Amino acid sequence: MTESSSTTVSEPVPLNILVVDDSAMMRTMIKRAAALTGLPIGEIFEAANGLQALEVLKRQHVDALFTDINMPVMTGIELLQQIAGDDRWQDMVRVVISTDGSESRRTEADALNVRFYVEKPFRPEVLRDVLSNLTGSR
Amino acid sequence: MCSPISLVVADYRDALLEAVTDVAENSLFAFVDASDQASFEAARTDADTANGWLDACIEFRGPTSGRFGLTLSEPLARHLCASFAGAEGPDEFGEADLFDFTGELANMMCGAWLTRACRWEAFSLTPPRVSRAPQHVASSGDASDRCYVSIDDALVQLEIHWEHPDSPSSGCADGR
Repeated sequence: MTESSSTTVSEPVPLNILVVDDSAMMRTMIKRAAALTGLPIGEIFEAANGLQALEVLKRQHVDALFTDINMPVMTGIELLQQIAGDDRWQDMVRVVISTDGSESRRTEADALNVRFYVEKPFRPEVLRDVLSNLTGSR
Repeated sequence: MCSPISLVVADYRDALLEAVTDVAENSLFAFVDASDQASFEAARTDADTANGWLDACIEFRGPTSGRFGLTLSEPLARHLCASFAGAEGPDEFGEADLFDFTGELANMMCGAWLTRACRWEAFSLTPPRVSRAPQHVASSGDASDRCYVSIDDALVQLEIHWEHPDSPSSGCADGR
């Protein structure tokens, strides 16, 4: 019989994630890669563009945002500008996942407090490394 | 900084083939080989595959502008979709999933190519348009450049239509 320890070990708090991409298949791939990391992931919300993402953010607690750049209705850059201008979301970690890896886009993202910039295509291990960094730093 | 002229100098064909290889190997666990127009035309007119081809098209705007097109067979699209999604088999997907994936595939290839060809300046890409390819007519000389590759031994056409009049016009139909 296992004895309970008198030392309290705090469980890691699961990370709530919002995945924003106009491709449902890409959202599914990112969710699957996140689930396979074995890291403490809480809820994974989805949105197909920046406007939908803002609606999710107003209703749900999100720790980390993973957003594409080129999307219809509202782009990822427009979404990040909205987030940067709202005090409610200042602690949320921002990650860009985009095919656009140009220096000018990276500079633009840096100015909007983006912590990680992942270029598509990416191996699932890259996403695992980003998530490990996020869960380890909380 | 990158001007349309430097994009030309950067040898867009090599950048495109690098980008396609990167997408195939890193996201799809698939292998790319160079191919040629004759092999592609033969595959398009083959009785077994003539009716099942998909086209995806994306417009890009930036230091130079144009359209990127991708044409591949439905069986290859399903095979790659299954690899991408980690699915059991190629027939798990409906038409909407297949079109979504084919559009995202074109988006990744086009974006990775433009990033390689012009590292300094950003491009904006329109959402991909995906459709079933019409009855095949052998391509004639027009303003488009075409490259041909095989992905996991199935033929693929990559097409670039430049809007800038001074952009490169020589094709890569020899499979370079």
